[in-house]
Amino acid sequence: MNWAIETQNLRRVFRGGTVRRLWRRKSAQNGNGETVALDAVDLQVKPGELFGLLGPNGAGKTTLLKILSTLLLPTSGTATVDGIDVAKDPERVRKRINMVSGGEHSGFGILTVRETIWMFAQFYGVPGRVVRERADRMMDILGLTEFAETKVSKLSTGTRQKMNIIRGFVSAPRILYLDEPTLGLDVAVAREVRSFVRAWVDEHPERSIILTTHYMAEADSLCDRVAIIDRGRVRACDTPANLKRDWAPECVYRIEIPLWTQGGHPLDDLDVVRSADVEHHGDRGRTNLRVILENGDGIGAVTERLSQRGVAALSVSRLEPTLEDAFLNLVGHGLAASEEKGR
Amino acid sequence: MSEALEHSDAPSRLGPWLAAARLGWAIESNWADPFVFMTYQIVRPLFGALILVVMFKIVTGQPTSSAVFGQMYVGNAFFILVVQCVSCIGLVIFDDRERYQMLRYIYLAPIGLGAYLAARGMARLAATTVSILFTLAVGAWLFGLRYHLSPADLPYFSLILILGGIATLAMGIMLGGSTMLMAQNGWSMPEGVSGVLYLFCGAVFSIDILPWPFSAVARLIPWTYWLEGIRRSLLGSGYVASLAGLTNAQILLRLGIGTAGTVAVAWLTLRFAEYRAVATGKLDEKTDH
Amino acid sequence: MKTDLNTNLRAIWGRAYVRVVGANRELSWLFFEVTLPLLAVFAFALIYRGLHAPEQYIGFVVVSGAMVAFWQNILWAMAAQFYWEKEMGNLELYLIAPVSRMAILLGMAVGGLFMTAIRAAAILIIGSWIFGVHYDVGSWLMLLVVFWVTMGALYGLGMLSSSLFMLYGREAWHTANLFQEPVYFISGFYFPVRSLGSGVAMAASLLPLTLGLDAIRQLLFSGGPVNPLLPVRTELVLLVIAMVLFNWAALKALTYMERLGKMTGRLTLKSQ
Repeated sequence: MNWAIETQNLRRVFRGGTVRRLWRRKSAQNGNGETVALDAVDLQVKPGELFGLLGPNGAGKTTLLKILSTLLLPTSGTATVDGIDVAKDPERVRKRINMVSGGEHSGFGILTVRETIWMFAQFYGVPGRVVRERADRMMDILGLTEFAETKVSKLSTGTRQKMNIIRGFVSAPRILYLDEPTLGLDVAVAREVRSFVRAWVDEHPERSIILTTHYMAEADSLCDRVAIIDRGRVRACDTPANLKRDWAPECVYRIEIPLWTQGGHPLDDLDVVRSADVEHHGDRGRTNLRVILENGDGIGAVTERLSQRGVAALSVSRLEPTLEDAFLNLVGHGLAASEEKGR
Repeated sequence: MSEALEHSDAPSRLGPWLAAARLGWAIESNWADPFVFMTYQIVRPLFGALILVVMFKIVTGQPTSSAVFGQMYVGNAFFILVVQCVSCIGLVIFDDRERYQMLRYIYLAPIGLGAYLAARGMARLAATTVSILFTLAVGAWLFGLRYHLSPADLPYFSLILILGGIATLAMGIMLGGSTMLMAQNGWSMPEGVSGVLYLFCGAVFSIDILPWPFSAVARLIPWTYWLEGIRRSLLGSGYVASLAGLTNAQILLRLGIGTAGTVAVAWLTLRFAEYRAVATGKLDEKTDH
Repeated sequence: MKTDLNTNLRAIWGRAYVRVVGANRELSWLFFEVTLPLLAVFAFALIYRGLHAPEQYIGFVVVSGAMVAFWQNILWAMAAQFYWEKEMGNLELYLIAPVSRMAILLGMAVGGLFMTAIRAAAILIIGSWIFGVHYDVGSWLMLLVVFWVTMGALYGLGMLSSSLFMLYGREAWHTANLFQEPVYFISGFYFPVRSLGSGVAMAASLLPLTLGLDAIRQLLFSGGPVNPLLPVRTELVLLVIAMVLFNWAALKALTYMERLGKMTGRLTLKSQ
């Protein structure tokens, strides 16, 4: 099969200097002062697929995208885009790709939205008439038409990101990389962006999108397949439904208790509890525990432990497994915990 | 409780000011690499002086120990302070707004923009002192200049330096304030303004050769008297024939008045620019061009 | 091949467009780019006048003022631009695009040329008028040839520098800033370079600016003593060699630095 993207035993190590300083807090670092950003990554993305890379900050998602977009060389292993080796023939790869990043501030404040899209399209040799047609259509879909002649410096974050999205799509790349494209956007704009991305893939079955995100719901709702990546390694790769089926535990409970102020959580020494996420709501005087148990029988031990500690269980409810549960099970910690460790 | 907090945890007035000066030093000194920074502080002024030396030599053929060259050289050496401080403070707003995107937080902090700009400029002022001393030392060592600063002249010389420093900081703050209302493409303005001052205050030539109305402007700005005072203190005589009739005290008085005027205009400019920037939303608007 | 050429030409125009539009939309550049450099020229001209120098020296300063505009366009509006655009996030978008890096750089330079030409012309015309500079052009054709070959060599040097800016960002910016006065000094911006002595002047000839300025002065003031470094024809030949060498070296350096940046991860690293 001709893969849109294929990586084999891909590895990227950063050595010393500034790069090390930037990375050492977030990724695995060995004793030699080297940081392994990617390790033995094997992935295949089919043409027409919307493929998600899900992982916490510092997991290696952006490093992988940089290698695939020819901005970074792998330390070892191979990566091909549309069958072309990114290290050996980057010029041919560039004719097939484009990229949009979240929180991007590219462009020039003095140009209008339409001019910015046109300018970047020139770097791909897209004729002006074609740019105009495509841009008009995309601006219409994303509700950007009224801002077409507005200077970029006057745009809000959401509007600017919509422009960036169009900038990436307007060259009609065979493979598009979206690096956390909804980062910092409000719910409504993020939803518009997601539906635009999904519709584009559905309309162009021969083109692929690689999307990195640390939003579980985004990966779940948008992607055909998802690779869960953590500390440079791919932990699992499948459709969201299969990941939930295979990796999400069935015994997930939400337990509401009065505000817990003693640090950790009241179940931290209980064997039947595989992991627990804690959310404090000081304003309501409540703490919510999201608890994954080894088996369904464990809930009895949980309520008993709570009553032993004099903690009233205000409500107990069983939850449907989510992608986050699968992630938690695979990686051993949630996204928030992972980022906390990173700090 | 809250009152106790207000008193015990209230930052001192000096604290934020020192922090801003330290930040200025860190940024200006190329992220705290003193060697690189000092090289930077020395190489540019030195070659600026060398250009002057060659120009003087090829035209006059006189030795560099001559009185005229001394006047040119000393004026040029001290003017480095104006160039560096005005450029530095003038670019702070662009840097903090566009690059580091910190301007909004600085504006919100209790230090106040004027004090913040002055503190950033002070860091450059301190560093530039080294450039000036080095250039003067090179003048004595390589070009045979003789300085005549007697202990009796020291108070006068110090007053001249302090007033000139204040006027220069005020000019920097004035430009810094103006840049709040400008797009980033005005980045060359502070350097350009120091070029204008170079022309008007007669840093290397006597203002007497300036045509009217430039000569009139030269007599209004404090840097003209600043350099004249420095030359009289360091070299024992002034440079500008038309100012020869003024006593040292009169030079000091004119410098004081000019400095006060510059400070007043700087304060008004900053207040107006702050008001306009907040009113028009330009304070933290990233212009990107 | 034809498609690649077409894409690169579009890229040049696309990147140049920003500068062209900027010049129209923000007319404040007229003040910053014309008035202020003109005053700097005045300052140096007045130094000569104050020293009672021959009027020809004032002519040198005016011509240098015009040439500085081109040099600054190359150094700051083209080479250093890679640093700024890296900080803005544009550089990585240029690098993933299927175009030559030289096309992007050329776009920056060509876009800036309009403003630069106006700045240079204003300095030349106004400066000459105010100070009464009299030119005695020996050969207009030769003058044009020397000017454009100098530009070709300077742009090659600028592209070579851009590879350093691309990778070393802030450090390269500081270095370029550091060398501003030394370059003005050794290339004889404000005096005939031969005044530095033949040895220093010949060493300074490694910078195309030195030879270009010397040749242009000889051609503009052919009637008087200009203390030339070398005959114009020799300088022209050296400039042609410099043009070819610098452009070839720039191509190699850009490729090398880009690969080095990809290996070390510095290529997209901001705030260095």
